[in-house]
Amino acid sequence: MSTNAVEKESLGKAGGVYADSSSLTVSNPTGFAWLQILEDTVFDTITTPNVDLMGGLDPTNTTFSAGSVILHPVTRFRVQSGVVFAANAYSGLVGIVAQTDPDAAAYIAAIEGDGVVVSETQRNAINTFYTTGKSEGWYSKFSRFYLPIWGSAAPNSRCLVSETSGTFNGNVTQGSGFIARADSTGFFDTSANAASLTGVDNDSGWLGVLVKTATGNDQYLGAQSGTNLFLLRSIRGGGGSITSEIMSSAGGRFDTSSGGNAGIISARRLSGTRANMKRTSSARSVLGSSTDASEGTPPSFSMYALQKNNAGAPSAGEGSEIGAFWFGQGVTDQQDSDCTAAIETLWETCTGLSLP
Amino acid sequence: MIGFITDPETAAAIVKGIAAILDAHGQPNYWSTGSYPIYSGHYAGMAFIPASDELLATPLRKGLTPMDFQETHAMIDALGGRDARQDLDPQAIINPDQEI
Repeated sequence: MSTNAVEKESLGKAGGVYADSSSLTVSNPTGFAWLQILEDTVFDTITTPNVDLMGGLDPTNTTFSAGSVILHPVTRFRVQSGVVFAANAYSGLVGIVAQTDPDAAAYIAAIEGDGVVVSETQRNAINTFYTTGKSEGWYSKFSRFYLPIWGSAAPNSRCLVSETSGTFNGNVTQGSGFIARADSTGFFDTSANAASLTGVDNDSGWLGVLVKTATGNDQYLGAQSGTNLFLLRSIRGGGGSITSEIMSSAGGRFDTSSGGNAGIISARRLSGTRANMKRTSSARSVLGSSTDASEGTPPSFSMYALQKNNAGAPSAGEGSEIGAFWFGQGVTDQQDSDCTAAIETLWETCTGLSLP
Repeated sequence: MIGFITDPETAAAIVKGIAAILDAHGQPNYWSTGSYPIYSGHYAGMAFIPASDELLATPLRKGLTPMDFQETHAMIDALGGRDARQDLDPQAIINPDQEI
């Protein structure tokens, strides 16, 4: 066993973790760092507000006696800002294997506070979703993104990008991997209206929903103020079709055959081009696209899910099972494709279910 | 649909009270029964507050349901108790003048 053989440079490059000859300090201000024991390591005193030792040690035990804790190479542990391994606190070799995105860490911490037990697999999937979205450029286009898979209202109400919560109203099924309107009283109010969203207008809009099971003629997501709409909905008949309305019921309305309405359904408008898309487990397809003049204005009513908000009242949902939904600024076709692929991976990994 | 039928003012007070309860528990306003105007039928002009057994068993957080809060029991009592709930035709809350 070596002494103080921390890989100082690599720790520093990973960000927020500093090591010298006698101590290891984690100063990352927001996120978590994942550390890996690379060889048998003896810890002396650990002073910490939050250490989650994945090797099975009690994370609430914040002080360990000298030489009493020996961690073996299989041990991984998570540390948060402010952790200090005191002078001569360790010997052996410690290295970073991953660092959680700070926004992912904030979301995970929030739903854990709601009582969700987030597995390491789920934690990694959430982190990958954030880091991928930021590197591919679609994360910043979200105004709101929801992942209502956790089986209870509080975590399901949390937006992954704005750190806000919407409100479930009436009779909504909080299923495993989805939510659904249980009767005509059930809907979700995001408390965000398109008229006040940054970068959203009649030539820049994006809506999407993961439909686990499609039911009837549904109003997945949106709001309406007269002829001004920001809406994504479906029709069951004729083999299925998807309608998007960005931001007008006339020139902004776009009907496309879908061949069935389960899967990840999305609609976008950007720089004169509008399109409806669908991703299933087997393929992604552009259901239709066109180039035309923009019309209408963003409605000032709050965006609802499971029903549409029609001038302040829920209207006409049908009860499809929804596993994720979002809205925001317009994106390119490539960004929509990248994003929906990431959503498929996120939802499938976190739920253990398969996209239709 | 199972729930309470009451006047619109009482229904608004109930919804406001639920938000206040969540706030008192340090939570965002993430859940509500909601209240719905009744447009047609015998109770037109009144308001409907959903309160089926299923709704009252909604998982909220940390394994808690609305019935785990004493305030919920107090609200149900204020509306006449569970036995005062009625079965309303879903069509009654559909606004006939609203374009779908």
